[in-house]
Amino acid sequence: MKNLRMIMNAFVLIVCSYLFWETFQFNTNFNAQGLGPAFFPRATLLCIAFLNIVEIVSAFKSKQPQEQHSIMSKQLLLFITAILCFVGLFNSLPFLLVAIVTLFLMSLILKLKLVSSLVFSVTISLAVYLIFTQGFNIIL
Amino acid sequence: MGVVTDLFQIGTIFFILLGSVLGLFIGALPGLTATMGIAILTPLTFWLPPEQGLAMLISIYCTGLFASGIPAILINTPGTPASMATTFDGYPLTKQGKAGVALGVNAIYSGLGGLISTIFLILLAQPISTFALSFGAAEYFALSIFGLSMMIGISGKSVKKGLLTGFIGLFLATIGLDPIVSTPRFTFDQSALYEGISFIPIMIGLFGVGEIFDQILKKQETVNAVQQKIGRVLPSRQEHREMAKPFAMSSILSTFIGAIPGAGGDIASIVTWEQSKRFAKPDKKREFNNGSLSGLAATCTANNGVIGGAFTTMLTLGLPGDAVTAILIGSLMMYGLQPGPNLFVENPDIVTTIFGLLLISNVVVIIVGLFGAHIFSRIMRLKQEYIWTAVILFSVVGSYALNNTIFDVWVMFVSGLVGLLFRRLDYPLGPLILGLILGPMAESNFRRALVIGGETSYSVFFTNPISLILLSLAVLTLFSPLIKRLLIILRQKGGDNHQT
Repeated sequence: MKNLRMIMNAFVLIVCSYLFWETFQFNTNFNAQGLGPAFFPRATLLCIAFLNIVEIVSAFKSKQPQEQHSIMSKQLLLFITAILCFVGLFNSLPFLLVAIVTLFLMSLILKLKLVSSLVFSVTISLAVYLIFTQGFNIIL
Repeated sequence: MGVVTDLFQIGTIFFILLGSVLGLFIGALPGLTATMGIAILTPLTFWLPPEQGLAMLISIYCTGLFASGIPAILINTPGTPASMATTFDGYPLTKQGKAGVALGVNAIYSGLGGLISTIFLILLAQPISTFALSFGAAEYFALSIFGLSMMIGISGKSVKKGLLTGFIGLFLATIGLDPIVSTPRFTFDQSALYEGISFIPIMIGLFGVGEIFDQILKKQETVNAVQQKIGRVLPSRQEHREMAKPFAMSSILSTFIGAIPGAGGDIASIVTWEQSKRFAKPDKKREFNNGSLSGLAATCTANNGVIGGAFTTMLTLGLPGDAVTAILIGSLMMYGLQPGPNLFVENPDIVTTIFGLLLISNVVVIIVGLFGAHIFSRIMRLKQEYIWTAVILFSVVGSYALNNTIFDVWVMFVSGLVGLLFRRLDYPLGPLILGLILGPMAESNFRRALVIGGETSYSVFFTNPISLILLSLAVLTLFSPLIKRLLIILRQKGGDNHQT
């Protein structure tokens, strides 16, 4: 956890630096009065960067034993991959097909029974499809 | 009169009942929270008239909070953190064979707590909003900083972590066109970013998808529902008399706690439980933690008692009292309504509708709670894996349906991963959302105040009494852990000197 915290803070710090540089590219032609559009983002980015440095230092100095909370499991990774496929294929293939297949896969990843998984994925996908297309006139 | 007619239309009543049923499931299933439910179901209400959409969301909120007490009473597992204190006396009552009475107390006192706090809301909202109408840019900036600091100070173990997520929220709010001169900021020539990052997909990701990811990692065991008979549900007159004092104290206290940004039902129920114990008679004091009806009534009242307080600050000042009201601000914005004092001037009907919906939803809580007590244990037998999968489907489709764009779905997905990471690393999510909501208000008013008060002079924030008080309170809240630590050190040093 300590290492993960440091990695996350370091990553945020790098992103902050890039975004801070980006604030100098803002078009300020219309800014006749006041502090300008870059002031607030710069101020918040500086605060984020400062707090990240504090967090990195405190994580580095921390003498507490490493906690054993996991951030990822094989099951969760598969589950997230299934969602990723769902989102990736959302606009490319018919909604009902993508939804039924991915929901069925998710149910299997979560170790639900085969038949009940199939019935559940078909029913819920169909229900959501009907609610949104017939009820709200949204093309899925 | 028109508002009353709208409230009792079949459509509105249908959505109140639908919201109550959904809220019952959300609250009764450990792991699902009212925040998550409202975040996921908000896109569904987008196409409804405001009174029907709000009817559904408000009844999910009211019923979800009450129903979170059901698993706390029946299986000693709080449905949400707000019902943690309900386990103290609720579960011992179940073990004594009084599950029915405990469920009855939960339904009656949650509903009554919600009703009393709504009455406070109705009485206080107008004067507060009238007072807030006199606020200028400096006061609004101070108000947003005060709201953010309160949430940071209360919501997490570490102020540092709260500050970090709060600033991330403030930063995210700066993406898109600048509020004063419309300069594109961090848009990277992507048209989807010109209007900024949509607030709802972030909420769905952080509170819905992120929560599901976290639960898969924790892998909570399917709940073993109680098999015993529920028995008598209605408390006797003697029992009601015993609970009257804790109820009165709790309904007032929790309304005020609910009004503090960041302080929700979790804090209110523990504070009111402790206070009821403190003021109980010596013989009754021993019953606390062992099945005290007074203790249970106090916590159940506090569960829904925070609603009125949270709505007071949300409607009058635009400051959300808790995560749910933060999402409801987003929902109101979705309908083109901006919470704050102007809402009372520009859309008085919607304010009255919200008052009415809160009253009706809390009455429905009592009815559903009393009549449904015998089926609650069956709801808890539902396999969580089905709920998780359904939540993912609703999250994806809901995010897409908001603007018919896949970009929002990606925002939701990334927010879900960030939500998981932040949960695992103990970073509070509340300040991030509040930063996102209050960011535009803070920035535009900060810049306006400086333009009005003279560009380089920051004195405008300190010469104005209201902004000075609010900013001082914000600083005090953020530095309170440091001040407490200093006081402890000083006291210890004083003690050492005294000994030598």
